[in-house]
Amino acid sequence: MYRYDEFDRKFVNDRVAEFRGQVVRRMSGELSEEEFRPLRLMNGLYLQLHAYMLRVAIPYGTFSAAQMRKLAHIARTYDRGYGHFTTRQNIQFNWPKLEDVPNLLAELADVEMHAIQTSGNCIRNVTADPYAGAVADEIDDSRIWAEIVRQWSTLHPEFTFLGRKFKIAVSASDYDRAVVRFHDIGLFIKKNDAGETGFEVWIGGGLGRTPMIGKISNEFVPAEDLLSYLEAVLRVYNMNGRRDNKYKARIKILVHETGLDEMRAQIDAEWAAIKDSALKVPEYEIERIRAYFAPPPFETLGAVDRGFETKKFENSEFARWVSGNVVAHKQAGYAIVNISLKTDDLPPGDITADQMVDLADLAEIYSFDEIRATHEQNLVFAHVKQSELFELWRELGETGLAMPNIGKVTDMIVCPGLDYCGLANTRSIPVAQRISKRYADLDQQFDLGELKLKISGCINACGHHHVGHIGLLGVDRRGEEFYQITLGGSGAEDAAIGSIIGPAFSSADIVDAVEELISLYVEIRNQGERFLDTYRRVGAAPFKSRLYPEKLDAAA
Amino acid sequence: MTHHVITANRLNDGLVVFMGKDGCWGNSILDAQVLETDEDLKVRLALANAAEQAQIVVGPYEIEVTENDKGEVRPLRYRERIRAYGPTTHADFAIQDVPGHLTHLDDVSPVYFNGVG
Ligand code: HEM
Ligand code: SF4
Repeated sequence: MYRYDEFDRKFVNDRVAEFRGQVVRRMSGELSEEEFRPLRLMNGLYLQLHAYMLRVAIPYGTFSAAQMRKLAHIARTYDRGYGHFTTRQNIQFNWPKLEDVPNLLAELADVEMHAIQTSGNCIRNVTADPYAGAVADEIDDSRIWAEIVRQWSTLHPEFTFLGRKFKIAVSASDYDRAVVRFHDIGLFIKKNDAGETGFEVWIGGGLGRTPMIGKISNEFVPAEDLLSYLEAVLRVYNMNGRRDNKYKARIKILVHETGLDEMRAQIDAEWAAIKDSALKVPEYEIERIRAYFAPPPFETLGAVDRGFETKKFENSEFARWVSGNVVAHKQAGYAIVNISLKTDDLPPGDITADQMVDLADLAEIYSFDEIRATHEQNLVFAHVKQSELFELWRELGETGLAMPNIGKVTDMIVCPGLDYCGLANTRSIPVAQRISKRYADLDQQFDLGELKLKISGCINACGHHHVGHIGLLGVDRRGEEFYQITLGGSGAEDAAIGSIIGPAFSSADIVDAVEELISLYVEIRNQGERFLDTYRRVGAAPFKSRLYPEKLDAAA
Repeated sequence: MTHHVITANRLNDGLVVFMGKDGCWGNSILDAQVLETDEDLKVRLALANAAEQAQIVVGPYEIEVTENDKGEVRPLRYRERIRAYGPTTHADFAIQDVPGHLTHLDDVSPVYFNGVG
């Protein structure tokens, strides 16, 4: 795992001291809210519907048991006993007091964590594949490159005041487990024919009110040139991106308005001028960072563990959890374990302080002291011995975290919505809870297979509704909560933006409407088809007529 | 007849507050000063802005309220109800025991806030 060097430590501690001074000046009136707002946002502190909200970065989603214990301590001391995992490998606390935040940040710094660049118009926390270093389908460990990008982007003098926020994600696989194509810059690590490492660069992806799939600006940027290329993209964006309208200020709009060819030409011209500058990443630096992400000391084991196979045979609940949540590891005898935070009791992504402590203990025992956060608001133990899966499953069950629903209809991405968020039109969490109740039967969930349902409480799309197989968007209709349905989106390697199926449904009717869609899918699916596959095969029409039969009658 | 109360977030802890009859700020909308005329509203908003200048609250604004049959003040819009009463998803976080605030958990009658309850 990455460890702070002297520079990192000093930088984070200085930042805490600086913010402490800013809070004092705010409380004394030396700073107005207008002056203070950008300063607190640079430190991840929002003012929400009910209280302040602090967003803490988990760089590339990897953290340790000690860090998790500190998060639990913070949840108990400064929050109301909870944390909330987001879609960009951050954790949010919903109830900190302004006057406590400097102490909270100092405690985070003790375990090498911070809230820097989790908000504001800067390059945000760089995200990566949550299976990095564990999965066989990757070319390299994406966290190495996420860390290199993080070091370059942190406090970059040119890019601290961008026109808008800027998000970067890294993957090293053909599978997209980090919604890479919907980032301002998405990076896929590739090997060329000569066996050299480089990056396929996607630019201009994003969600929000104008959802866009990114476009490939360069098919292969050699590894050593990555930072100069990123710098060139950022410069072109910073020079030409619109600042007149905040909704048009993201790079996706610039790419769209400029056109990809012209964008490429501008980036390449900029790149040529800086390629051979100090931005070249020297091999020894790559190796230095790589060493932090060295594989843990795996034991040499057989590919199949007899005891594990027997347990699956004996215990069908365990077998179901394995088939739902456990993924093959590149190392023989090991497995990747997904831990669902979509349980019966809590809002999606929420976790209690007690659960955090339990998970910290379990991570030390079972997964080399390492935890990952995913963009789907779940957690991962990346390196678990197959022979220990049964024990781990039992212990997860004791802390209420053995829900076997990964990728299923109840594993929804859900934004905080109006229960917490000041920008919301509608609530999101209650709709998710009602859908979860409706589909509580696990046999039914497994029968439905992979079904990505995502809910946002407004068009900012924090809940990724545009890329849900089924997406729900909250809208206000004359003072009532309504929900618009989009179908056919995907945030994975088969990226697509969903289409609106028709008029919105009231809160009272929305769960029935979702059930109608799913029932139709079950009626017409071919063998092995997911909801998304069926939708792509038959198109929107059958779903539309199922949802709005009266319209059809009227037209007939 | 629509009346108003003035609300804001308190600077030091960020919590939702309402301006009371004595001009102080409290957590309960039940103790808020109800403003019945435009004139009163103007005077009180000026007071609220002064409270912002004095580092007591952040972002004061007025909301529309009605009274229920018990004479209790209730926000008109559902956004402001959630703000006044707390998240609807978590009984422990609800600020007051408002009947119906958490009833969405009942799958059968999920809608409590359309119209004034
Ligand atoms: C409650 C506090 C929150 C506020 C005020 C907030 C606000 C916003 C805003 C204004 C945007 C629009 C960005 C744009 O289009 O330029 C946005 C985007 C986004 N938010 Fe949030 N958000 C909140 C919580 C969350 C949470 C909890 C998550 C994760 C579950 C999240 C994930 C995202 C993501 C992934 C985007 C990116 C969409 C894009 O690519 O444009 N946000 N948020
Ligand atoms: S999508 Fe809208 S309602 Fe949901 S958290 Fe984001 S800004 Fe708030």
